Amino acid sequence: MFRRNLLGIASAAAVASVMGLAAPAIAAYPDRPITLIVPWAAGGGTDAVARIFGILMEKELKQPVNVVNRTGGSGVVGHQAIAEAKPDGYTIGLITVEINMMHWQGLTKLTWQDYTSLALVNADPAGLQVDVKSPYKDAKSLLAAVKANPGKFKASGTGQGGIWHLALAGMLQDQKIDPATVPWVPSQGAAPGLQDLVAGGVDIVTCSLPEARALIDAGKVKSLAVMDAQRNGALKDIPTLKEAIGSNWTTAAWRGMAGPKGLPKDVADKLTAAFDKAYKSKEYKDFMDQRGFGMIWGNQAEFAKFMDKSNKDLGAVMKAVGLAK
Amino acid sequence: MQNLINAADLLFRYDVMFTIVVTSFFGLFVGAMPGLTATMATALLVPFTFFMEPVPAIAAIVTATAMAIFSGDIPGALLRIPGTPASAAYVDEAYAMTLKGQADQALGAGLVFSAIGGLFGTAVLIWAAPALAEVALKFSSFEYFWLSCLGLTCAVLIATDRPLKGLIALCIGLLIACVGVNNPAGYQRFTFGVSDLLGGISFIPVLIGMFAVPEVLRSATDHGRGARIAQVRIDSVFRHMGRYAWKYKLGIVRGSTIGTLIGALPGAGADIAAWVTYAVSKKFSKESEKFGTGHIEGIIESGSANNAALAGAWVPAMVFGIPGDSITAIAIGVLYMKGLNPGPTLFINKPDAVYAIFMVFVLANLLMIPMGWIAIKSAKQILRVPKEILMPFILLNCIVGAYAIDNTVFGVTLMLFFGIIAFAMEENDFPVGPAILGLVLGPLVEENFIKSLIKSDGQLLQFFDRPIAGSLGVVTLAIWLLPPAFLLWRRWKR
Amino acid sequence: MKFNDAVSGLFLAALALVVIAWSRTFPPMPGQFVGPGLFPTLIGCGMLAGAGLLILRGWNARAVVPWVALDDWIKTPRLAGHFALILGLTLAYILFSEQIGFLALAFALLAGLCAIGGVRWWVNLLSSVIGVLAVYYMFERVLRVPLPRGELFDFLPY
Repeated sequence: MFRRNLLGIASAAAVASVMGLAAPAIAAYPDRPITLIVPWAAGGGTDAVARIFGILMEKELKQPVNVVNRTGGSGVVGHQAIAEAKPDGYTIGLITVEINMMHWQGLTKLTWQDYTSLALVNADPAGLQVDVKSPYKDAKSLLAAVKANPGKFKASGTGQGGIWHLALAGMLQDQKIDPATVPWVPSQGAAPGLQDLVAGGVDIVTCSLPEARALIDAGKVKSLAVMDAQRNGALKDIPTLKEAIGSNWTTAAWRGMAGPKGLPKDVADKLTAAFDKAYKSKEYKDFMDQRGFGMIWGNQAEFAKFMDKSNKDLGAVMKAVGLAK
Repeated sequence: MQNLINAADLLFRYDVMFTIVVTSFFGLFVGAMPGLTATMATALLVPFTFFMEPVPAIAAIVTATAMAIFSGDIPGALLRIPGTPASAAYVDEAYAMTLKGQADQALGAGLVFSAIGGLFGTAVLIWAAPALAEVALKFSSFEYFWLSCLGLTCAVLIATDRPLKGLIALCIGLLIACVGVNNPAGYQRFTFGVSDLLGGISFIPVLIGMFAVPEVLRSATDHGRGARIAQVRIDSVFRHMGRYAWKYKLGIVRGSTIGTLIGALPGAGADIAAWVTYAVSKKFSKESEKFGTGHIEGIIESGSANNAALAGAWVPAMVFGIPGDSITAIAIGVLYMKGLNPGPTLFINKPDAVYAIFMVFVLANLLMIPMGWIAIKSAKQILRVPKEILMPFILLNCIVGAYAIDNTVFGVTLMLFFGIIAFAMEENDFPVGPAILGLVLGPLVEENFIKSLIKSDGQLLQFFDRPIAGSLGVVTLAIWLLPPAFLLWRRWKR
Repeated sequence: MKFNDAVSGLFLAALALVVIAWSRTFPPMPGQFVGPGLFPTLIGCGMLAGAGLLILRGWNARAVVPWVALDDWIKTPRLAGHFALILGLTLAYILFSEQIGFLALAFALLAGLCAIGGVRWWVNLLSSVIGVLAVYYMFERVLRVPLPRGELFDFLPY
């Protein structure tokens, strides 16, 4: 008797849970808290962007937004968690440029096509930095010296095969210089790389301008060029790579909101609308300006197109450097 | 002087004081929860700082982290779960004191000397920040390589009674640190195809697993005997502290100095500072044989060091925007957001804000004494709980703590796995401490080793080329090679 | 369970050899002469040397130290059972928390271990409920750690 009751309860529970799953489609989305996954550690730039978005979304969607850091595997673990979440709009994430790099290295099978693109919200182009005491005053003379002395110049700014490594390699390749001419010294990100630059350990650091800004302001580091179509709004003296050496090469680390593949259209639209509002808010603009982060907007289709191009560019460089499998 | 008055104006306001009090409770709470670190406390505060004025925003972070680093000692001493990694170095010592019924002394020393160390670090930050930051910026991977090698020596120092097993435990820790893709080459090592292992073995679950889980397991093996926590009334937290301060004055100054310096070096923080100073304290102690049996000296020295390191980490952060540890890495973001862009110009353009931040440091460390006393008073209640109920509760806290760091159940798997390993190690007299040290230092050693090799095109002599690196290298090699050489020579003579 | 140092040493030596052999299969970094295998190889060598000394020491002491010494608790069913229950309940949490959720499993863990520890049933019930709710409140509610809800209980409103 008791056992039968238990079975009854269990099956009732099963039915209820199925109905529970179906319920969100009927009720107006969202009717419970949303989880926003960040594939990088708390405190980094990606985390900060996600958290300000979390707050602004909460206002817009009238539901709590929990920002959860799923770190590890150079971003693989978090990106995987976003792609594998239930496509119900209650788990979304902030994906980053690494999604277009990891699969070339054989770290994961995930590509940008495993996500529902929602909104591109930020991109920071790479800068080309040297020590302020360096004899090279512009990108042209630096590259000439690099070409003349293969192996002499060492560069740093992120880990082996990281976005800033590719920025340098892509630029060299664009200038018909073998990327192996400048050995890459892997570091745990831009700050240790910059420190090594100031300590005289390496000669070149590629990283984004906001990352280098404190040392530029302190007169320890100078930036010779920015790998973007336009100059940076806060640091207008730094020429673009095009102006400096006539190269069309651009690279940026970008961040965008995405959900797992197969997000219902109405849910995705609602989220994109909320991101649009948040993006245009004064709070977001102030936050990004103060951190020196680059603002860029792309809606669902634009973001997808942007990722497609980024994916192909990065793939080509990684094959050239020998990082792609 | 005018700057000081302006700074006081910015600081001594109701809203700022309120922020400081609230965040100090918050910091104490987060630090005492296993699995939640001072770094996490900072990260959790960041969204709130969006809506604060610059000074209270920074005050919130400074206060919360100072409190968290101290309160990590509380579960460490009472339950052998280090609340934050910075407490791991002396958790065994503090727990041994608790078993002897001296929990009040262990926690009191942690509290009082945390505050003193914090104040020492603050003093250095105030008077020597620009000069010290210049020195820290001169360190390249060669210097770091030798420094981290010196750090490894601590493993043998803390296990003097069984150096061979300490060395093997260190190797085990270094190997654990090798797992995953976070190595200079970005290559997947020892992952067995498990995607959770790609990111490497998360530090906090291992820490909890290796310290707390063996204790829980041992409680099962000896119903009603051994490991019984002596029941004492903790009402004398501050007793004897003046005497200790006088007796170990040299150690306090040494610990605070080393702590501040390690904190000021980018890439090394409070946890490494605590390990190094604990080992140094043991090496130079007149009673080094008492270490590990519940001797207060090491707690005093490394307890002051980890809080000093916290202040030290702000030196390169404020002067050059280069984080001294993972906490200041977050805090720099907040500084930017509040228009207090780090750099030498910060001291010229916004002297009042800088002085206000300095005052916050002093205030937070002073406030730590009464607040910490309240925390100890409430936490000690846990010792009244009978062991049969307490141990399952500790296990549950371990599980949740191991989960909370990455929000994944894989953390619990790691905790269990390394808990069993640590249990087996301790049954066979292998010390756990060196393994944890290897895990902390492994990435630092490897990264700087590989970096230096690449820079020097594989010529090992270049490791001695730069003046600071050269001297550090000679010192390291002397410490490693002289004692065995001496021993061999004596044996040969006989 | 206490092993003679020679036994531990043999085990560690085997581990070190596996590490060294495995590390040798790692490819060098593209365009550079060092690779990810270098550092683990060095540690493996250090460990191998240490293990060798340990084997030597254990072999010399073989007359006084047995190869394996079993502790009393392993032979006492109740104590061995308690030990196994700690591991078993933690393992159950790892395997089933996604499905069953934190609340139910945490309660099972506390209540089960208190029971085998000899806590009276009503004290056990009370302390376990309070314990679970306290941890739940602190982590989930105050610190916003998303503890596993349990898919089976998705229909519940909490």
